[in-house]
Amino acid sequence: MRKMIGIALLTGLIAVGCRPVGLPTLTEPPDVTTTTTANTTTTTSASTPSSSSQPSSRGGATSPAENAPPEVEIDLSGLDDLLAELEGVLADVDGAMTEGESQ
Amino acid sequence: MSTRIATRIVAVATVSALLIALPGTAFAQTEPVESTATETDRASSFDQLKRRALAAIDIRLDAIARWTELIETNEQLTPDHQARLLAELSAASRGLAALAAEIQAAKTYSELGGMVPKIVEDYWVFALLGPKVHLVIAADVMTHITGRFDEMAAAIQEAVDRVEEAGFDAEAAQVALDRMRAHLAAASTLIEPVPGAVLGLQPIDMPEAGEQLRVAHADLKSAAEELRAARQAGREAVEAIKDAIGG
Repeated sequence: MRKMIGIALLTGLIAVGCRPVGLPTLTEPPDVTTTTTANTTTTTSASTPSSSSQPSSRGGATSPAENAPPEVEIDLSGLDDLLAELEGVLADVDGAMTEGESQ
Repeated sequence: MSTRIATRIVAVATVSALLIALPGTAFAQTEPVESTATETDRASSFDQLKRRALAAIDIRLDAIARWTELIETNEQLTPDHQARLLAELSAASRGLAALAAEIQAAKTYSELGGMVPKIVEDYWVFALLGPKVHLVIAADVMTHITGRFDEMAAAIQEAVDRVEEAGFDAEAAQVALDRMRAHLAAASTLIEPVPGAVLGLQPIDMPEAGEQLRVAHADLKSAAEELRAARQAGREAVEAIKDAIGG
């Protein structure tokens, strides 16, 4: 009986002693979200880090070495459409002003 | 004041020239002719002057009809601006139609002489109404465009924030984005006062009001430059985000 208790205690001690201390917890992968706002699509998702990316060490930020960099895709074609509309309106104003000057 | 006097002198001179030039063929004859022929010529010239005056009114009524349609179909005009412009165009249209009826009924050069200057001076259709309509439409369209640019700036800001949260350096992107927002703010500052500055201008304010129209026009052109610069800064922000994450 004493032998059995001794073996059990020894086993427990060995198990506790061998537990890795300070093992970092696995980080969550970056959020994958898509936001669409007025012709603008912003997508962030996991991708392979590139050699040109230089992670910052801002306070509280998860280390980029553990977090894959987000992939960002923003469609700015809407801006060009709006500027084309703007040029049309400005041309109308120019025409009206010229017509007015000649009255 | 001197400008107004000068304008009136020009208007009177124009009318006088019309009155003298049109029946000129009759007055210029040195040889005596039969009185019936002279009267016929004078009547013809009188009718010609009347037709020219009515044609001048028609041109203005056509322009007003075009602008009315432009205002009614524009989706960016504010309801208040739309209502005010339509009311002014409607009033000008009614006034010109009534003037056309008076000119049509005129029997003498003297009557016509009092009516013809009103075609211009009572309405300033092309010098005031047209520019006013187009400036207000442009200002409202540009306000709408600036709002859309703001939405895009917010979307870029969201991307910048996510990149930073992931631990990457998005400072260059933030700097470009801040520049985009500064250009948008400058555009808004230029656009915002334009409708208020021109909507209140009336024919009685002419021709001095022409300078205010030119200032408003210049402000909108400057605002357009700011919007173009905002587009460029937005592109740079997106490129900076891609550089930061190696995309």
